[in-house]
Amino acid sequence: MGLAAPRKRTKISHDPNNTNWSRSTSGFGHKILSSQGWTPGSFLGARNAAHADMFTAASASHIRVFVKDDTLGLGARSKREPLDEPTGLDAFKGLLGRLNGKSDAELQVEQRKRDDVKLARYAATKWQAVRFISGGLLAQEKEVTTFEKARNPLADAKETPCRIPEVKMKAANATDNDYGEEVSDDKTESIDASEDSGSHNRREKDKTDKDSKKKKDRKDKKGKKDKKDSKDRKDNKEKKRKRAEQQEDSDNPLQTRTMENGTHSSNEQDQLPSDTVKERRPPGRHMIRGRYIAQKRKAVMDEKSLNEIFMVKS
Amino acid sequence: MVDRRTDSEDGSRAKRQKMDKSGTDPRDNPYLAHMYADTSSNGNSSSQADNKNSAFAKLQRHKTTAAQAQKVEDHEINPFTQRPFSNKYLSILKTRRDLPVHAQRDEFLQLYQQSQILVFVGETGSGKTTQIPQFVLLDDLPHTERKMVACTQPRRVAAMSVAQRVAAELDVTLGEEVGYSIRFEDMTSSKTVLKYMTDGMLLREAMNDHELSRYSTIILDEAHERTMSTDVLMGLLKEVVLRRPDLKIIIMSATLDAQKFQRYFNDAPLLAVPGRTHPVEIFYTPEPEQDYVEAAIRTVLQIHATEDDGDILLFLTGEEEIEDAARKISLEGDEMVREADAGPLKVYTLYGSLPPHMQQKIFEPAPAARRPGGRPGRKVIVSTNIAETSLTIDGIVYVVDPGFSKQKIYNPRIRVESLLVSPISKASAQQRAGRAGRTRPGKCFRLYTEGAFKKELIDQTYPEILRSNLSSTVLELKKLGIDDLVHFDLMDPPAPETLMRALEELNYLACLDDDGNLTPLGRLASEFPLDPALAVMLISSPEFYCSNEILSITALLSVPQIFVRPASQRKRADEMKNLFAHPDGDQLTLLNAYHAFKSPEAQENPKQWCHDHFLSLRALQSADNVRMQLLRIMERSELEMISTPFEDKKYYENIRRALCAGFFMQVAKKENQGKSMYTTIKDHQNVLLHPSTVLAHDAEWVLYNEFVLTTKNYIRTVTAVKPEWLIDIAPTYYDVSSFPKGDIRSSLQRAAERLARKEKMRADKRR
Repeated sequence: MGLAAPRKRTKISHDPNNTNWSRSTSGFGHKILSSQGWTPGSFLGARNAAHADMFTAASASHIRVFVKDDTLGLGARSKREPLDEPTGLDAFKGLLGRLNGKSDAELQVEQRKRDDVKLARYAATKWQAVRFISGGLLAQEKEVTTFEKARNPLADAKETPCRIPEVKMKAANATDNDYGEEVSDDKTESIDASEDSGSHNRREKDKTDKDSKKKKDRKDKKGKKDKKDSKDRKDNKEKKRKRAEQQEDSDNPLQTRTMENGTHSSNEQDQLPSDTVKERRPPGRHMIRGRYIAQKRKAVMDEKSLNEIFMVKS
Repeated sequence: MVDRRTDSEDGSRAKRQKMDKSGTDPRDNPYLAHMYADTSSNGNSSSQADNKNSAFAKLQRHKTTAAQAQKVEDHEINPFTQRPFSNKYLSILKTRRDLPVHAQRDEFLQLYQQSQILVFVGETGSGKTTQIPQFVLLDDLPHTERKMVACTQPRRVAAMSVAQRVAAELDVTLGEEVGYSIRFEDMTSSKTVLKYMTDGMLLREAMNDHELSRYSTIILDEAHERTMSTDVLMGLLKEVVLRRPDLKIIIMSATLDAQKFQRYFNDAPLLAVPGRTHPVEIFYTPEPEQDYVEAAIRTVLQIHATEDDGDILLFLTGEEEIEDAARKISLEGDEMVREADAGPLKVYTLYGSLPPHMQQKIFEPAPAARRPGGRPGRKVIVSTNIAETSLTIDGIVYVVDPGFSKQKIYNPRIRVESLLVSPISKASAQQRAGRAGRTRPGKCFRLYTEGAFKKELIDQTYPEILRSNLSSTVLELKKLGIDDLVHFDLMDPPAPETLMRALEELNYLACLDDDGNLTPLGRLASEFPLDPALAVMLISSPEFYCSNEILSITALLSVPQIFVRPASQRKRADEMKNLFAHPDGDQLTLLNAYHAFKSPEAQENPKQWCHDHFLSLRALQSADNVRMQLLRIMERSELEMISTPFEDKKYYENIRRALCAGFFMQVAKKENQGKSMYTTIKDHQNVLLHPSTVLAHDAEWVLYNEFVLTTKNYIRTVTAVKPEWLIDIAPTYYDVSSFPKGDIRSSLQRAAERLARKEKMRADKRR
């Protein structure tokens, strides 16, 4: 926390988790449960329950959540965080890596990535980074049109500072695992996409891993025949996304590179470029500014006012 | 303590509402049927159908087909009432036949006849809640066995209005052949063959009739909501079906989690009926949003500016946030109308504590264009997750989902149950998105990245049983005759620590004896639809000569906050609250306010009086209602209703002592150093008094009603007590030797000595 951070002084209790109680085995509850055949560490519920593999972690211990007292959006990290990295942390990470038995070549690659991030961040803070929206591939008009469709129609009204949903797949998604059935299609598709556009320096991933994922994907598709109704639409969308992503990858190397740094949680990386680029504005100003820009654009569209601006007599 | 009556009206519990038609007329909405009562029931009443000429005569129980059933329905005479069907019936019949479930009636009947347990999956709008019980009725013919068909609902409003609708569909009078039963209201008669009820109500019946012998078929509707009562009922019914082969069970759920139900019920057959839904396109943001409220407002405005007509549904977390956002949207919307000739924008809010007539407003149609040929108007509904499942608002085409909701969490270690803002589940996000496709293809704007959707959200929302204090559930289970709590077959067993805590609390309250068996006090406490601590407090109040007062306080603690504190008039509201303030604590202040409310002066014009004194009339009235219901139970249990005379100087002291009898496990002691810092007894958590308290002096010991979790831990609604009382009233909990060395122990030690001295003096005097 920097000095400018709001001060939140809270006194932490002597035993905030009350481990004193949870560790004790002499309580009445413990006694009754043990007498009914419960052993510490086991779940409650019927013996050999048919649905036992569907139990969640919440059956083992109570649900834990973070107390949220701000309006930070889902997946967002506080603005200050990425700049707060202590000096020398990267060197320390290298040391840890060596201790964990990584080869020097591997470490060099990692070090290189970290340096790239640093450079990108430096550039972004020094000169306001210019951001582009993909406009499709050259000379492939069909694809361009489909991509246009894939974009949120809302985005047409963009360029105002109001950032509004826009379908865009993050390359980072490709590196996650364990999404569950529902999303496995997306995942494999996006991996494919990144393979196709082999222009960037993604770390070599395990080929076999990918293959098995593909297989799983196929199986899923078979299994989901009954959900057919929404299926077609989905596939369609996926194709569009795939294309969209290709664009993204080639257009925005800065972003992809930052995202490839596998050691951080990828959320933080999602953040990185944008964090440093946009300063935070109060919501009111956002709207006012948006309106201002809209007004300007309207003026540009209007011949009469344009003439006025250029002082042309008609 | 949080109000945990199973069918509380606050609406916080999710509920899906089905529509028979996709029109926007609220009259067609079965869940609003109670509002148009006069139009939908025709006042028929006649004797039970045992006539040989009845259309039922040809039917053979559990062997009917859809064709036969249709014949009965098309017959001219109503087999239930022996009267000709009305025209209204015929027109409803036509719409009923259009429902998706109707197409699969034969399939349903076959599966129903073949198996004892059936899992039925029907998406919103399939008509399952109204139709399936009727399908069952014509096949099960429960009246021939002198039994009934029961259909449970998580919410009482749903039970009432669905019963109303089905009575109209069958052309019978509500309360006769078709009835409902909710807490404090039984609309059934000896003729009743189909009974809609809350799940909590069926559980209460099961306590006195372990075999549920009045029913031939039990339908658990909205099982996917996984309310506490539904979960317990499922575990219970799994045991009952083994003892009663004639009992049939149908579990009805929305698509989510269907396989889990199937597996749980020993691979019961599954029947799925598609709903009427349109495709919904989903959009994510490219980057995480820094401020989800602000982003939500911007999104709504942008939709209004750039998208085709269609109403918008925005999900936010709590009352304050919702009101705030609604105000901002409406201000910006007006400006948009003025400056850019946008269509009119009307903003409605929706949350549990909103009075019903305000909630109904969301069904008003969107505003019309300001002039003929102008841009059409649009309505925006800013809602908590009530709108996720419990209410269907037609015309919604755009959904804005920031990905958060307020959820109940229980931590058994520090014994805190609280509502916290946390990320929703994937299932809930899909549910929210689905709201956009009810009437035509829609769009859902998620204010988070696709990556966040995949990584930050859990798959399913945790069922209530995993997030609540279990003490009243354990009491219920004991009353249901379930002794082996460890191996009770729940769909999602709770954490062992949570169960341990519940058992411990019940033991300290003397509801369970040292071997874990129900005591007479526990048996009595389970009669009250209250938290065990409150029930015990109520039962022991006659010993303190103040049962009338404790009853009022209990009622006041079970309803939403009675003191209103509008942001614009905080100072004035506080002044008014101080009129009722009692220096010894908030519970007594509540009581004073209630007494003032009941005074003839206030009753002359209660609405105005409440407005003047910054009190919530609705909360006070519902407290009045709860008090009356509890009074009835107390009278039935032969508990004496007495008061200490108000002039007696022990009037308030007696009440404070009686409070200790229920709340002795929720006590905090002031720390020696550290201004206004308190430590909870036994759990050793540092807490602060909530700023809203009226406690006038620095009380050494306080009991609290609620532990509020924020970045600072607060205790809310506190009353000053004396350690002597605690030792006197709860000697086992306040056994001095069981406390670790320290401030609390020495203070208790001194109190115990004082108590012993007094006792000795009294004994000396007597001699």
